[in-house]
Amino acid sequence: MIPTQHIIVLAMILFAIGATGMLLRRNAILMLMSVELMLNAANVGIVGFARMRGDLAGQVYVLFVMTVAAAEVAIGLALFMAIFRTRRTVDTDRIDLLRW
Amino acid sequence: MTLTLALFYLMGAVAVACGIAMLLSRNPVYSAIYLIGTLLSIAGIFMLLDAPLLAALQVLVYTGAIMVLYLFVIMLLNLGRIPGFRWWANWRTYAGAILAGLVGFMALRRARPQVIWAPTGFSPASVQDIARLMFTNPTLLFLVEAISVLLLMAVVGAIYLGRRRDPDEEAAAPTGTDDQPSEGTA
Amino acid sequence: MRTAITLIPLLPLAGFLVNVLVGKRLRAMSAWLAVAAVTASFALSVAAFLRLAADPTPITFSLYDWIPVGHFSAPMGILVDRLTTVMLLVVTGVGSIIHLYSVGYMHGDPRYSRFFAYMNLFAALMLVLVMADNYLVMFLGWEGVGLCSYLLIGFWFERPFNGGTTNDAARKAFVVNRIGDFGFLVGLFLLWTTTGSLGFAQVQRAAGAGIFSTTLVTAITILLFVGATGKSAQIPLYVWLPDAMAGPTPVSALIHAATMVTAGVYMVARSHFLYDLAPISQSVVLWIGAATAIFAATMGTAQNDIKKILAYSTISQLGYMFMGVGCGAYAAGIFHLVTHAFFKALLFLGAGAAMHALHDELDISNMGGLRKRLPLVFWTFLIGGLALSGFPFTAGFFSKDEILAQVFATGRIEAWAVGVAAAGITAFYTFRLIFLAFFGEYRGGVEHPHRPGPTMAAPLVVLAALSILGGYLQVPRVVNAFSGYLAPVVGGEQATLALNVEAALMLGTFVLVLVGIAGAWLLYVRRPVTAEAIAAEPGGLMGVIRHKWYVDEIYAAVIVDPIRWTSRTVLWRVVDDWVIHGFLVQFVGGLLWKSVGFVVSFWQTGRIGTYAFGMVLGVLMLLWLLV
Repeated sequence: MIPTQHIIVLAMILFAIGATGMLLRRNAILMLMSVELMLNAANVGIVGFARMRGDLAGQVYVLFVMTVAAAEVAIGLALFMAIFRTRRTVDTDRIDLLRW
Repeated sequence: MTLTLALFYLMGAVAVACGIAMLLSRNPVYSAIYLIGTLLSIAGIFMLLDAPLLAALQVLVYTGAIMVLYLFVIMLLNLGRIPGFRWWANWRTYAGAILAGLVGFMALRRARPQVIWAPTGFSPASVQDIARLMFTNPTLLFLVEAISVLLLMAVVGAIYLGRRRDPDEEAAAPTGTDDQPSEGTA
Repeated sequence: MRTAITLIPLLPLAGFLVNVLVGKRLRAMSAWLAVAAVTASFALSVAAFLRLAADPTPITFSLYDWIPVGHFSAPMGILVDRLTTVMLLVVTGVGSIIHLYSVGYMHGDPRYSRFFAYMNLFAALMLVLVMADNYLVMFLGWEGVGLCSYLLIGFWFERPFNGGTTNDAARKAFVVNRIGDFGFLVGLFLLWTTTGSLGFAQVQRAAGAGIFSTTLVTAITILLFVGATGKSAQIPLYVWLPDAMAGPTPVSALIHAATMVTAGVYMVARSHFLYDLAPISQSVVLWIGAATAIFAATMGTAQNDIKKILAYSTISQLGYMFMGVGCGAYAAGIFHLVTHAFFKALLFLGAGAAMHALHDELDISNMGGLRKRLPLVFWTFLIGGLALSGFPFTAGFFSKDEILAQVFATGRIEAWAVGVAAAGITAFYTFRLIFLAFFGEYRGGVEHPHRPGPTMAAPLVVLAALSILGGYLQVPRVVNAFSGYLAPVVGGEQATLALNVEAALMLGTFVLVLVGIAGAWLLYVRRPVTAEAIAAEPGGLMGVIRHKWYVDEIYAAVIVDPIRWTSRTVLWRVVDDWVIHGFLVQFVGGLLWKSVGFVVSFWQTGRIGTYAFGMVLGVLMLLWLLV
């Protein structure tokens, strides 16, 4: 059987990759994709733990996470599209109207 | 080394490789494709972890819908090529690496091997099982309803944000200042 | 029975809600709805009375747990014992009559339905007050009727009054009441810290068990009485009641004569187990009652406003009630409460009828000769006046004399003397009013004063009948219905007098009453009086009395104005402007802004990347701390 520690390690690695991508990317869309990767890493982790405890509720929660991720992507992309219309860029370093 | 374990390592490696590739790629479309690769490997991992429904949904929802949406947007915005990921020149890399190292170090020091992490055997969860759990457990049921409302809100929000604006509104929106770009990042 | 009892305050409350929400659309129906609500409560009160007449065991139950906080628990509890039923009958009975009267009196008023909404709300809250089984719910009703008093006094808020507006009068009532309520509350606090409960039954048990030291119970009872002086217009907090006449006459009749102002008397009677332990407080109550009785009576002799005369009369009669409960004769005090409700409401309603006929004329110097023009009003008013003066065989005679007899019997001759003197003065001012308004030449401005309609006339007749017959509930040695009824609650009569002593006392009072009436006759009927003569400012002592002994002015100078000055100059200018604004806001705030604010602002780059980085940083630090 697959030891749970390995699953968790995998999840952590994927999460780290996603986090790095999110922090270091300037393009908003690619930032969001890294966020997706982080979410998936979390999903893997949850499934691993659900398997360890024999509790199916974990899988239901993964379902919820997926749904929320979908909603979030929809809104996020719509937001960035709207910003692009006016600012002509999705470079997050340029989108700083909220600066003091 | 059973077959499942080997497959797990294989798919895990693929996932990590695709992830790193996604980061390093210069072409946004390629990044998206690499992300799809990661997602598909994760779907495979779900299958190995006794979650076939989730695997199917991962393919359907994540790769089938979300990534398609991403590709649409990337095409629409016509992003073109992106300058390279000059991570070596960014202070954040080093700061983050130090911090991560510290955390890992602390984690290793406090790791408790006596925690039992062995998986309890259960058969792959079928759709009926998950459905039964979801619709009888009151907490989960409430969450289901709440999430449906959330989806509705997302739909409404996306449509609102994406609506066609008349030319006056467009002109009145601020185009913003063009200040100096930040230090070189991808 | 419990449902019936719960409905008693709920029906008027429902009437209030309906009238407030849809009253405007109902128009005339809204008034009848209100009347029906109170009348229905009256019917239920009669049922409760009959039940308790048959079986004196009190009915007590709790509706729900109102405030359960830690050790403190105040249930919304109801207690209906014989004392309660007496009050219920008065409030709902006289209340229904006055509601009926208002249908005609307030006709045509643009805010007709709102008036009835307020009246119903008042009835509901007053019923809560008398049906409470603990001090806190009683206080809820207490405050609630104070609120309704404010609303109803200022009902015609656009009208000028006394140099200000009716709203000023309403505010005065509320504020003065508040001062009294402060004393009441402190008393409640003391009660709770001593006994751990505010329920009547529990406090009664504690009192019986000797938990209270004499000083403590004296303090508590005096504090509670302070609240009563506010609510029931005794010295020193009576000043709001004459101004409360700014409200419509039915309001004056119901609230400021028959029910709300009697709440203080009820409270003392209800707390008899406390007052019995504190003879000092009883003397305080007795003497303040006596002093108020005579003091207010003097002021009634010099007023020209018909409602103000009745207002001072109410204050004076309330003094009598407190004399009764102050010497331990709780039943006598409550008896006078009941009869007073009858004849005072009658007098107010009659005055209202007269005012209505003369198009809202208040000044008796512009009335006169109404005896012939408004005969029904005259005869009912006369009956009320006789009852007020304590003329034999009227209800007022039996109740007032019962109080005076009890005061005498418990040995307080001086107070008795004051009470008798006040009775003489009462007769004088009452008949001054009657002679000036109803006898002599007609000095009014209206050609044909119109007689009251049936909705206004019927209440007058009913109340007149009660003002005569109501007294026969308690005829000394003959009929002991009233005190016997209340005995299980408040104990029997305090003392009995020898028959000849009592007869002598009655005779003495009667003589004084006749002297008063004769004096009024001589001054106002035998000598022709003109409008100018009445309205003229009398000099000397009468001038001072006319100005209400300058009490209002004294209060204004000593209390009100200093407070206003302090607020304006000190608190506003110094503290608010200089200290808070000048120093704290401008100086310190500016300093912080320039130093700390400047530094922190570097974090606000507006860029997502920076924020994301900060978040990750934070999470890592948290993990560090946890791991």
